[in-house]
Amino acid sequence: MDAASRTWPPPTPSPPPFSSRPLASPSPYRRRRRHSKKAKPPPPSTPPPTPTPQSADFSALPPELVHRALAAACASDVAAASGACRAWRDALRPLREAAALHAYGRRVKHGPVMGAAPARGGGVSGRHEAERQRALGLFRRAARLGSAAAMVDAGLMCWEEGRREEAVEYYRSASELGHPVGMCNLGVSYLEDDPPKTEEAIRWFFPSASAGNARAQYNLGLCLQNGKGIKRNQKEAAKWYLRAAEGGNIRAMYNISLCYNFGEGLAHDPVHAKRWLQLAADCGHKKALYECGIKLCAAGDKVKSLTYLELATRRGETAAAHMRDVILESLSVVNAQRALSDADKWKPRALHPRR
Amino acid sequence: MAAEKGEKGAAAKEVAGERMVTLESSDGEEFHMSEAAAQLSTLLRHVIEGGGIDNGIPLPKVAARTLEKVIMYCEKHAKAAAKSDSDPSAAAGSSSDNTAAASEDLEKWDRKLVNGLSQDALFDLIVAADYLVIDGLLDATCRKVADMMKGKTPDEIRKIFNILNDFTKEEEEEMRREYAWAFDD
Repeated sequence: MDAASRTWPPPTPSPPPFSSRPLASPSPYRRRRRHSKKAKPPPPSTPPPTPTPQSADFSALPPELVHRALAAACASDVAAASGACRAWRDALRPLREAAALHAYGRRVKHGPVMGAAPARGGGVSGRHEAERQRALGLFRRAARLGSAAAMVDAGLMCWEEGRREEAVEYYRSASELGHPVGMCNLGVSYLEDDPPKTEEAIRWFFPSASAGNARAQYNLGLCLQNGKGIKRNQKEAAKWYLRAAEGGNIRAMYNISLCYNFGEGLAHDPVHAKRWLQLAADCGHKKALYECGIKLCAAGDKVKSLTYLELATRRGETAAAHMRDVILESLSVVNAQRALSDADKWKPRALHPRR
Repeated sequence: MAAEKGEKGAAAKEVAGERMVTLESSDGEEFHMSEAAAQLSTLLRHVIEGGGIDNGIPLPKVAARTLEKVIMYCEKHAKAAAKSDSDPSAAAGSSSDNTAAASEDLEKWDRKLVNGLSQDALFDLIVAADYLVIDGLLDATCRKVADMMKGKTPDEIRKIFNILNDFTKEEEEEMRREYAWAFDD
C-alpha cells in the first residue's frame, strides 16, 4: 500500500465488558433473542468487574497467524517483528531463516562470478551456471520455509530458464501470500500465455497496482488503453500510467508524456509532457531518447541531438539510426567526436530505488 | 416436540428465496446469514452440510460485534461472486468490465472494513476468521497487521500492538547483532 508509512493511532481502551449497548441496532443481520431456547444458568451473583482497559494481546496471536501475516514482508520487517516479544520471535523463526537464505541467494545470483560476462569460455560459463543453480537452490529452500519474496525470485529464475509452469506455481504461491511482485509477475505470465488469459491477468494486476507496484500499475494502464481483458478506458489508463511513472516505471513515464502531449485521458499539457519525456530519456527509454534527439535537432543543438540519437540507436531504436547518420554527416569531426564521446560516458539516471 | 421442531425449522428458513442460517454469538445474540454467505466459511460449510443447523449454530468463540463484521464480509463477497457468476455468456467486453471493476471495488471495500477497526476488533476478527476458516478475511486482516508493522522498529511495534517486552537485555542485544544484516536491505 502506498500508505505504508501510516501509523496506527495509539490504542484506546475498549469499553468495559458490561457497558450497556444501544437498543436500536443498525445492523440488518442482528436479531435480539426473543425468548430463550434453553434453560439459562442463574446470573452470576458477583458484581461486574471494575472496568479495566481491555487490550487485545497480540503477543498471544496464534503463531501460524503471525507467520502468515509476515510471509510477504521484507527481511527487516521480519527481523523487527521478531524483536517484539518471545512468542513472535519463536513464531517467525522459519521466516528469519528463509530471509537469510533468500538474501544469500541474491548475493550468489548477483555476485562477482555472475557479474562477469557469461559464456566467455567454457570455464566461466560453467561456473556461471553452477552459481545460478546454487542461487536457485537457496531460493527454493527459502520458499519452502514460507518466504514470499523467495518464491518470486525462484519463479523468476525458472521463467528465465524456460520452466514456465514451475515459475507460475511459484508466482501463484507468492500471490496468495499477498506479495505485490508475485501478483504482478503472475499477471504478466497470464498475458504471455497462449492464448493470453487477459481477464485473469487483470485480476492480479489490480491488487498489485493498488499495493503500489509500479510495473503492475503500468501493465494495468496498458490493458486499459488497449481494452485487453477490461473495457477500454483512456482516462483510467492515464491515471495508472501517472502512478506508475511516479513510482519509477520508465515505460510509464514515456506513455504519460504521450498522454499529456496528445491530451489522451487527461488534459493536454505540453510542459508536463516535456518533463516526463526528458525523465524517460534520462532513464534510458529508447523512444524517449529518440524523440528528445529530434527535438534538440529542431531547436538547433545538433551536437546534443547526435548524442541522444546515438544512444537511442544503441538501445535498439532503429528509426533513430537514419537521423543519426544524417546529423553525423553534417557535423565537423571534432563536434561529432564530442557528441559520440558524450554518448559513451552517459549513464542512465539512477532513480530512488522502490520495491 | 413437533411444534418445537417446526419453530426451529425456521432457523433454516427461506427469505426472499434465499436459504438463511442462524448463528449464535458467544454473548448469546442471534444473527441471520444467507447460506451462500456462510459457504465462505469452511467451518460453517461443513456444519451446514452435516445437517447440524436446526437450532442455529452456536459460535462460543465469536463475540457479537465480531460476528457482525464477519457476516458483513461474507455477505458482501457472496453477493459479488453471485453477480459475476450470473453474468450469462455476455460479450467478453462487458463481463470483463464488470469483473475488473468489481474486484477493484471489492478490494477497496475490504480495506475500508479492515481500516475501520479498532485494534481489539482487528485482533478478534483475525481470530474469528481463523476459527471459521474464511481465507479471504484472514488474508485481509493479516495484511493489515503486516502493513501496520512496515518499516517499524521492535519498540514501535510493541507500542502499536501493546506487546510486553519479555526479552532480557542480553537476548535483545543478541537479536540485534544477529539480524543487523537484515536492516541493510
